[in-house]
Amino acid sequence: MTLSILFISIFTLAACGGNGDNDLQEGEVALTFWNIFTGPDGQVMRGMVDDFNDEYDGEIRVSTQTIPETDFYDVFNTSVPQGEGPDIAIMHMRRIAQYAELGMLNAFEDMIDADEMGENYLDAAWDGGSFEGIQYGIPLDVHPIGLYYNKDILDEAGIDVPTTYDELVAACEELEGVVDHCMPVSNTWPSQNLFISSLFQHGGSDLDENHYPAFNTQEGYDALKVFHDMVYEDNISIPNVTVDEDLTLFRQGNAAFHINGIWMLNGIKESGVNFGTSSIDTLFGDEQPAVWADSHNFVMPYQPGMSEEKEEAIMTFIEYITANAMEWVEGGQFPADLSLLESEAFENLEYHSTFADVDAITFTTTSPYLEDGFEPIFLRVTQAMRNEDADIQELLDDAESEGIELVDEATGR
Amino acid sequence: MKPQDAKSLRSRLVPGAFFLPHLIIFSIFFVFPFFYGIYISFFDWNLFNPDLREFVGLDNFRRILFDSDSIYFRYFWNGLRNTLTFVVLSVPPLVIFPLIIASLMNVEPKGYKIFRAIFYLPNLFSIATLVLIWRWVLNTNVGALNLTLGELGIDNIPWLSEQPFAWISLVLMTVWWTIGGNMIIFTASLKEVPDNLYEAGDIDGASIFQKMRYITLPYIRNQLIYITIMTTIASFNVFGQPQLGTEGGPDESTTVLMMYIRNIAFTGGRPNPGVATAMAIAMGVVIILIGVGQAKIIKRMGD
Repeated sequence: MTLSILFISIFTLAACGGNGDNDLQEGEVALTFWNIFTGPDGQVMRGMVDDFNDEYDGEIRVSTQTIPETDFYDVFNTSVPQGEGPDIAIMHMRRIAQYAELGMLNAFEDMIDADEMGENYLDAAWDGGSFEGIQYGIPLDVHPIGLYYNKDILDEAGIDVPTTYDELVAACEELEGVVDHCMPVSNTWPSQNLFISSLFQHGGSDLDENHYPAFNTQEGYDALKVFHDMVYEDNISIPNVTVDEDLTLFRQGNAAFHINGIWMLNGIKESGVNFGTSSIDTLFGDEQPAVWADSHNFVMPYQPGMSEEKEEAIMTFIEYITANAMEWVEGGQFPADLSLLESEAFENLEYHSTFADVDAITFTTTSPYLEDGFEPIFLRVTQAMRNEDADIQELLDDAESEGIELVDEATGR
Repeated sequence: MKPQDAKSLRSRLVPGAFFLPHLIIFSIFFVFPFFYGIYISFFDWNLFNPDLREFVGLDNFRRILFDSDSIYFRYFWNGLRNTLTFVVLSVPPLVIFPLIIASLMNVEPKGYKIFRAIFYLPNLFSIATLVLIWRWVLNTNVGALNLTLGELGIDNIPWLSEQPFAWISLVLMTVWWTIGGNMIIFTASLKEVPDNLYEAGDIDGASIFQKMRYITLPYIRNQLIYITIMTTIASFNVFGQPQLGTEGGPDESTTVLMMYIRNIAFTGGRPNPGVATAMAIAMGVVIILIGVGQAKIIKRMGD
């Protein structure tokens, strides 16, 4: 008796792992979709997917799974190779080349006419989704960083929004006594994205054609030195600002300026601060206007033998979402689709049009070794901001040698 | 079959059936991964295509332990040093504070049940909740603690972004988080110490510290060994606090071994499970050695 109860309970437990495809209607194509949107953007995305499911009721059924961004690539790495990946996923553009090279992405190549379709999207965003001439990603959006400024504080001091570094230094001088903080900058996230903007603005570059670090130059030196000077020379930021403290100070009305992504727009609106936005394309250097941005791309994680029917359904879904992304954009994104980017509705958005100069949007180099060769510099940006006595050249040397080491390790050179 | 045999078979099977569910789960989540991990550590393992794995023998161990040119050597030793630092800093307070609190509870002062609940409460928080709470307290420029200190005229202290404050903060939040678990075990074991021993101590004029040293500690020696070893193991496995609290900084000085292991095993586009499992095994060996050493020392102290 006891035994039988035990066995029954064990087998019932084991049988609980069924799947949820039961409610699929006949002839409906089922698609699985993984995304990384856990915040308010996740609700918007779910709404868009629901709308799609309603519109294509009886034809296509998309089921969504949300995985926090911090875990996403771990889950991806462990499930896709086992054939447990989804049909569609959202991936950051800067990671596409790496995963394409590893064979972990299916190409859109046979499903679309890449040249023709590419004309509908912002060039840089479209090109970033291709690796070695093959299209692996279709951009959903573009998310640049930009300058948020407190209108009330600037009005009180009677100053304009700075667009160059000299103007920023001058503005901070003027603001002394008016506000506690001029522009606190976190010494970790997202300062690496500020640094990338600075690097490109000074005319520097991230990787060379052999995927090795290319930032250890005079331009790179100047770009990094700005971050040391902001804290220790020019009184722009206090030291020891940890992640999101800069955001909090701005939201409290205790800081005049704050640089963050367009994705933070709603968070700043909620704070009740009377603010405006401005492009940072010449804020750190004057060689070349540049604003760091990344892009959420639709990708197809690797799976063998995809049916044509499914491929069609995937394209229907992606094109529907990118073309109906206005709500997505309002939530804090730039559209990658030109029909939206050039639309009146977008122009009329209060904060978007001034947030970043679209022509200055610059993505990091498309390389499978970006993470290995370039990202070691991020730690050094932190160090430059943490140590008053930081030796900028030494930091660049360290980052370069670590980058070379990691690229060699990754390529087996 | 004789009835007697049937009975003895049954009497052997029934207890077995009771631990079968545990055995199954234990095997799936512990035994199998344990041996599979050892297996992986002998390979240059390709996570994306396990068919392309290459047997390298002990090369992964050589790289992390001896090959000073390898980036994994630097990761391993930096991670191990940071983990050991955390263990050394955290285990004494994690054992001593619960013992002190349990001793006070043992006197059963008024309202001690409420305090016991309060001390135990943080144990119920998830690690993410714990770290978020403490970040709001310890943030340099907007944290509650520095704002309070500021009122007293003390400059902002970078609790999470400079040493030695980063270690102090990590130990502090860990103590606050886990104090209740060890306290419960100590409370239970202190109840076992017979009162007449203390009375005898009183008659001999023993001080409170002498009573602790010569009566309490020897009597709860086994629980003390258990708690010390389990706390040490838990501290070796520290991950969430530095991952979320200090993000491994400043300058990777709080990047503990578990963070490197996870990053190398799964994260990003260059997972290297062979090296990561080798690191995990090396860490396991260190834990075993230290655990055995601790048990020996405490046993001898009691004699």
